[in-house]
Amino acid sequence: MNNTEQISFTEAEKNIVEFFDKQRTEGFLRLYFTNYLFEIVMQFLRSGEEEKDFDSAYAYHFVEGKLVSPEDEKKFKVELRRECRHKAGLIVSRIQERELIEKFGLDLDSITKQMTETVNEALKAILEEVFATHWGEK
Amino acid sequence: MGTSTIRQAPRSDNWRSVVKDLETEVRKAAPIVDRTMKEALPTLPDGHVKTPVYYGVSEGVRFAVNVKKHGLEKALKIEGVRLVEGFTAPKISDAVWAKVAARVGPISHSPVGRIAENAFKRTLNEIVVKGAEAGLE
Repeated sequence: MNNTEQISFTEAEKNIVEFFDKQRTEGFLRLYFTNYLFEIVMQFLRSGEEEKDFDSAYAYHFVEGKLVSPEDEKKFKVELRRECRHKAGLIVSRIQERELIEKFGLDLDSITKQMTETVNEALKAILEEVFATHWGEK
Repeated sequence: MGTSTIRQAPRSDNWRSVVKDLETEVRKAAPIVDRTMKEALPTLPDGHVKTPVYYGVSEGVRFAVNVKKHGLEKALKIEGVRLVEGFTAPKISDAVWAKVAARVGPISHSPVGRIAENAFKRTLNEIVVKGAEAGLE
């Protein structure tokens, strides 16, 4: 089933409950960061430049002057996503080490400014550690 | 929802390496993801732009807990949403994200807010459609 097919209340409810029973908040975070990193990676890889050495959009779609087939592109995207999932796993491990898991899942009205700042600072530090670079312009 | 935003490619030695990695017949995802994130992270604004990530994940998890406790129909009511039987997965993620967007304000419409939104909707859609296997390949 894809995302645009109709789904019943019973099936959607069963899927959400089963996911949460099996994967919990950690699983939600892992899947979320997989998708977050994948979004960023795809946006960058599809960026263009006039000078060929930097034109990742062209290099993404063409190898040795030949258009990458839809099957090969699909396979490559699966590999990219798998790698993003691996990195997401590292991010979630570090969130766990900092004992921040329980801060995710609170009612939005109960989240204070200080909690938001704590989590934002932690996310910055964790992503900087995982990718060995800094977040934000130099 | 999509990943096709047109942007200017970076001009750095690191990016030249990414392009070279893409040009090889057997592309290796690990160095490409690593180098891309090394290029991307410094370009993301710092500060409160990370809030949509925090609020999005929190609302997603809280919604899932409410579904488990009260059932989907009541959980949706708590979100202020009424759906008729036979809906599509994005209807749920749109509705839940609307609450996050209202709370975080204009940042949700910024480029980084859009990344957080797309990631959130994709995540919830996968869970609604695939259940326990979502994210496990």
